[in-house]
Amino acid sequence: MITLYDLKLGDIGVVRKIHTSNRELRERLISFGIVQGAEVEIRNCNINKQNIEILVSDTLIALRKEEAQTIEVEKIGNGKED
Amino acid sequence: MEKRIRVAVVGQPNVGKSMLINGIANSNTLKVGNFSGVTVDKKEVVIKFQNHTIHLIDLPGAYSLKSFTRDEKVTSDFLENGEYDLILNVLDSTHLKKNLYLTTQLLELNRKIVIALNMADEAEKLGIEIDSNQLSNILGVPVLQTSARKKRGIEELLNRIVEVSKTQQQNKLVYSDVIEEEIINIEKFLDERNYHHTTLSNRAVAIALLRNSKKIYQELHDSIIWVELSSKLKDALEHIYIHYQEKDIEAIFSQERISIAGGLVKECVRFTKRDRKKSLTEKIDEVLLHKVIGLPIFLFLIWGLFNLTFELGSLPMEWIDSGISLFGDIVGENISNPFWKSLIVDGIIGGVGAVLLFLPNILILFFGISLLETTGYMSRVAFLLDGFFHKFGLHGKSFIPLVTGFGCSIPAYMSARTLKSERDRLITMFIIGFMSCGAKLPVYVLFISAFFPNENAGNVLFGIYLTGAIFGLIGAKILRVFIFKGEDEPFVMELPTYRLPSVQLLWHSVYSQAIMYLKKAGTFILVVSIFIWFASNFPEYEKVEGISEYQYQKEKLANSYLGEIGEFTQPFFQPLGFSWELSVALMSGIAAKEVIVATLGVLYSLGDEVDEDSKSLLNELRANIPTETAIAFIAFVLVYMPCFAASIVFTQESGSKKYLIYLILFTTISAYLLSWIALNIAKLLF
Repeated sequence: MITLYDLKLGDIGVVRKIHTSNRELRERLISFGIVQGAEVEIRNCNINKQNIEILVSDTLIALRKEEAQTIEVEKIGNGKED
Repeated sequence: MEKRIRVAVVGQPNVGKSMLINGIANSNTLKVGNFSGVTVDKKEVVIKFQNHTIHLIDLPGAYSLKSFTRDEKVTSDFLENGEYDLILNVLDSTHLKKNLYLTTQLLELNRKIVIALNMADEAEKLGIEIDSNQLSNILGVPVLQTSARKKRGIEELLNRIVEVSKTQQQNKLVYSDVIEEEIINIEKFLDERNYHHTTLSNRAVAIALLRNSKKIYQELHDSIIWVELSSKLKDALEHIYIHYQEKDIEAIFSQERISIAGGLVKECVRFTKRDRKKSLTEKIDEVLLHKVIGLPIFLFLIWGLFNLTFELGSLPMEWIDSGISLFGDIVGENISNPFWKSLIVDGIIGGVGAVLLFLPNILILFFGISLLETTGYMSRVAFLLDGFFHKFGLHGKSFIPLVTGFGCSIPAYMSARTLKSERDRLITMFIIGFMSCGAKLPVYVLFISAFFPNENAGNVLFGIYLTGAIFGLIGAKILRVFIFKGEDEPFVMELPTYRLPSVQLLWHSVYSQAIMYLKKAGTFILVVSIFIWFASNFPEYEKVEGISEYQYQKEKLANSYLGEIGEFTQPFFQPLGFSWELSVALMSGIAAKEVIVATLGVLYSLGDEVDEDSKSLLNELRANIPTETAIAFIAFVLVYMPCFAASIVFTQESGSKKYLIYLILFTTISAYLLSWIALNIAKLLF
């Protein structure tokens, strides 16, 4: 299973499933548009990749390693900006 | 025909809600203090428009009505149970899909609603064309475009609000086929059984039932149709579960909302500049969030802020100082009664004046913090720091309350509400005191000016704040490991578009903080100043023949109530080398930190030779206190318990008086230890 955390800078992925029983986390992710079928792009990460920044429906979101690892994705491209 | 209209203003964070309300209110600025652009409580603004009195209730920003954070709970509770006539939903036109998620939840409430697509000017610039008429048709509710920044669409909006308040409204929110089918089934059943709810349509009832709304369940539970209804519901839900391969109905509805939002955007929005060049925000982030230089840039900015606070603040400080002494002299000349003269000139003017002196410094500091927040930079900092903070048992979001603590502990304790996890929140609140609040600034500035050469002043100040922050982190780790153990709060945070702050809002924010600071000066500090003055002048002491004026003053002081308190607490502070004046000043600081300076001002101006020139407090301090003691004193002030007002807010926010007791113990013991260590290190160095 590839998770959001496994993707590299610039990669684009599609969300397959969110693996968490934490309802609050799930709702927060959903309210930001992180749902099945959503396209996400890895934009940045901080020191030691403790947190990552992603772009999803034109919004920049920051997540911790733990949360990013609950999001299963399918990589669809090494998106390099033109 | 006067009519009162109550409008609940709801929107996600960063949509410009406060700016819009401000724009609507025109010259009526927001009544309640808004600390650095973060709405933590609901605030109300009242305006008059066309013979109507409109109450705009500004609710905290919420991404969703499912209570995740306390803010969202305040908002959703109010929307469920509060009294209002209609909802004004404010959206960010440049992020419609995300914003519409909340809109769908609001529509589900089945209350009257007006939608304002704010930041229309920015959308225009980005080539985002929104057909608001189409959107309005699909949803069945009014949709208008506004720009709070450019003040466009506001009159229109008000007109529409008035109109909606007078008419009926039924929105046309439609879900996907599978769900709609089940809704219609239940709705038909209710119709057939002649069920009528007092306020909601049967369709709305059907939706609420499918969504497991406790309220509706309770209402229908006692009805005769319940048995048959609950069986139908069970079937309906089974169908839905099978179709979605998912058993959590709420998750399904959440998914639905996202689809609806997406669908609406597809129908009503055209992106004319579709070549996705990196937005300006992303470009700036490449620098500010850079792995290597991001953090240093931040540290540099904060350092710069502190230096600026000191330098820019020092000039007005001189003016205020002379102004106050002048004022004191003039007033003094006009009062003949020595009792009143002393009370007013030495007690009141001396005390409160010493505090007013530092107003410029505090304003600059507050200004800097507000600026960082409203531009959107604060969340970048939270991103940079979370990895680090997390190691100390804190959260990237702890950053906001901690930084606010540099201004004043009271809003800092309140903004800790942004942390959902009790544990994260409490730990953060416990160490907010280490982030020296604005009221401590006068003490630092006073002592730094007296004991350190001018060139180093800014750096020493920065050093003090930095040391405080470091102590705070260590304190947090200790608390996390030994006292507060538990789960982590999820970290999912938006990094908003960089925006130039609205000068008006910024000014308002700084202005309201200035008012708060002055109010504190006017009340607490005034009362304490008078008390100190009284305690230092009574009981009456007769001058004995033959001793000098200076000697008389000293003895008089030693014999006063204040002197006795000083003597009493002196042994406690003996190991730290604090004279009784310093001890008394610390005690007074429990009322309010600014009072420390006021107390010293009163004590040294009374114990002074009766001479115009040497009234300078700085000189007195330098003459009477050894440098290492001064440093120990600064260390003690840095750490010890928060002021009376802040302690009360802390108790309220933490939820229990026992936490206050822990806090007092924690801070006092730490203060003593650190002060003692500082004393000994200083002895070696100086």
